[in-house]
Amino acid sequence: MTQAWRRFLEIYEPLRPALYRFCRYLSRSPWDAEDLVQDTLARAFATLGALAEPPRDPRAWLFRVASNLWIDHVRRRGERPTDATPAAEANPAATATGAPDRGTREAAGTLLVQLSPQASTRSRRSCRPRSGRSRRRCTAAAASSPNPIRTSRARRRPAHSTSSAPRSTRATSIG
Amino acid sequence: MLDHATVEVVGASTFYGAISARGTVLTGMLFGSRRMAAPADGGRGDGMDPRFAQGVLPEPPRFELRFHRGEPLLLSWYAHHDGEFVRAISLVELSSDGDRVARLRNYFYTPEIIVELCGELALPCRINGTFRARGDA
Repeated sequence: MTQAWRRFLEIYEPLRPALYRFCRYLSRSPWDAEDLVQDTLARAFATLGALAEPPRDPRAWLFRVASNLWIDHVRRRGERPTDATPAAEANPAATATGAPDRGTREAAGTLLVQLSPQASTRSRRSCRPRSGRSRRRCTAAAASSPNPIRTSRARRRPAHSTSSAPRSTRATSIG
Repeated sequence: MLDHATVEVVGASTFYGAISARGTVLTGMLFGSRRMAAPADGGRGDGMDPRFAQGVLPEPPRFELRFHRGEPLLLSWYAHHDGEFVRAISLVELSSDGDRVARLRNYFYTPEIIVELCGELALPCRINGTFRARGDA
């Protein structure tokens, strides 16, 4: 046991700073990174005892253990690895005050850019405020419509054309 | 401190309950410098790897509370021949009513954390190496 521990310290202890940096990159938090380092070393020591032969590349193997542990951790937490923590790290003051931080703004910007033109057109057209209707009410009505694209097209169609859209659907869209 | 509080020296040991923590970790946090300091400086020199003593004096550290990354940090400033340096950082979690400590995590044997956080706070620091069971150091 002591010999195994000594050998573990000789091989894996020098990898600790690199392992911390790797865990820091994964977790985006110094506290989580330190926990992950501890868990990784503990898991590695326990696993090494059960292996038939030692890993050929201890560094790569150790990092793989850390990755797997982090994936397990994130799955248990039920969120994606990049959620919340990078934003809090980028601007902790903004997060504390509840103001939208840079990460959230960038994510929102990416979402807007990647939305399909059809979807954005639809939402813009279907939510044009008309007399006596607020934009918010219009948006809510569009969101609750079972097929907003079809109802939007039907609305744009001239009055003399024959509409195949059922009147009840159109009424739902108009709200 | 709550009766069922958790007190942890990260990477070294964990104690449960105020009574067991009082005689171990908390004593070490307050008076550990006597064991850290070299005999030439009036200490015992048996509390850590001598390479990491780096001129620490056998005086109780000064504690400073700072808020960083949205969390309260308790910084331990240890006296040295050439001034004060941060050598440990503690995270304190309070109970729901906010007047007792529910969890304390002492980052003493975590060189990467000490260097990183002191770098962010622009504070002078010295590290203590990592914990090794007695006899393996």
